[in-house]
Amino acid sequence: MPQKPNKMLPALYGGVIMAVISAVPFLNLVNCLCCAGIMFGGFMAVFFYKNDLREGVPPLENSDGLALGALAGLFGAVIGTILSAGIFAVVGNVAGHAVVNMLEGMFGNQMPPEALDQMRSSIEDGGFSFTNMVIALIIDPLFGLLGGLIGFQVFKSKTVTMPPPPPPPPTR
Amino acid sequence: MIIPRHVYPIILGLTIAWCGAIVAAPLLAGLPGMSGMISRGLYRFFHTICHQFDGRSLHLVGHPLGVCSRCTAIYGSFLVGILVFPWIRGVRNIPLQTRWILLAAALPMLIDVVLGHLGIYEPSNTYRIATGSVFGFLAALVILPDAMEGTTRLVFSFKQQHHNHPKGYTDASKA
Repeated sequence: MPQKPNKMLPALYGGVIMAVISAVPFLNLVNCLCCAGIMFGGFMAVFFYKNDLREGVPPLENSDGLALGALAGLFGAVIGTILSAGIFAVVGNVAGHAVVNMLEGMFGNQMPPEALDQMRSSIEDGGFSFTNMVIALIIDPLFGLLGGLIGFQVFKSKTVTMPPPPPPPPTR
Repeated sequence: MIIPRHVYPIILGLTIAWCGAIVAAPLLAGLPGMSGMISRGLYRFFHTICHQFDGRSLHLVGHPLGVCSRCTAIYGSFLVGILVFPWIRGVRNIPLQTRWILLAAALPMLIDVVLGHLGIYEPSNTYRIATGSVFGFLAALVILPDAMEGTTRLVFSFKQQHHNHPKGYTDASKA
């Protein structure tokens, strides 16, 4: 039986998607909805892998979804941390400033001053750091794995592949 | 596939630890020394996955939980889903139309989020918790069987590879 395709390349593509969503200002706000952007990367890794599956190859399994999601998460964590540090160095935390300004305008008089201070200090914390990398290495594979499982649920084949019929008996 | 007994408790334990960390952040917040540092670390950790807006968070002992009310509902109901899983699906392994269940579970939450962001209405914490709970609970029921089976398959294939190439293995042809 032919071997399944390599998982590295689809996982890398998924990881790049994850990294771009996590690093690009304003787009990264998607992750405020339970890491939707990170899960999307794991989901897309399964999509790319599914496209690589040819006829006769064993079908997509739940373990493939798990492995692809987790691998995409590892790639996404490393690439995303470097990319977001680069973007932070160039333009700063533009999305963070915009969100804090908006909140101050909307709820400024209702929010406790320490909460506002905490928000202001947190938007300065966006450059490359060991802590950011460690957090990303925990969060991204975890949520990527969930995205991979959701991807498996969506892309798994409905039909059960049947084994080929036995050869006909020899005729004289 | 036969799933080893310890897979379910491991997944349950990890989910309890995750939810415990969300609750531990406010409980340790006011304490001096190491406890306060752990609390700040937990808030910092959860800040990467949640906006943590004070007005959209549930509070415990005067401090907001580690994540907002919607996320709290998702993770909390996910834990409930895992806890009740053996009674709901595990006993008879009821087949589910998982794609449609996931979509139906996510739809109310997505509508709530989109309408809220468009400014059409301001969802209350009650709506956030309700829609998040539906999603978290059903997601647990849908995802858990594949998480358990997939983990078992991965561990099995890993062990098989190492069994074929035990420690100290040398390829005679390359020697």
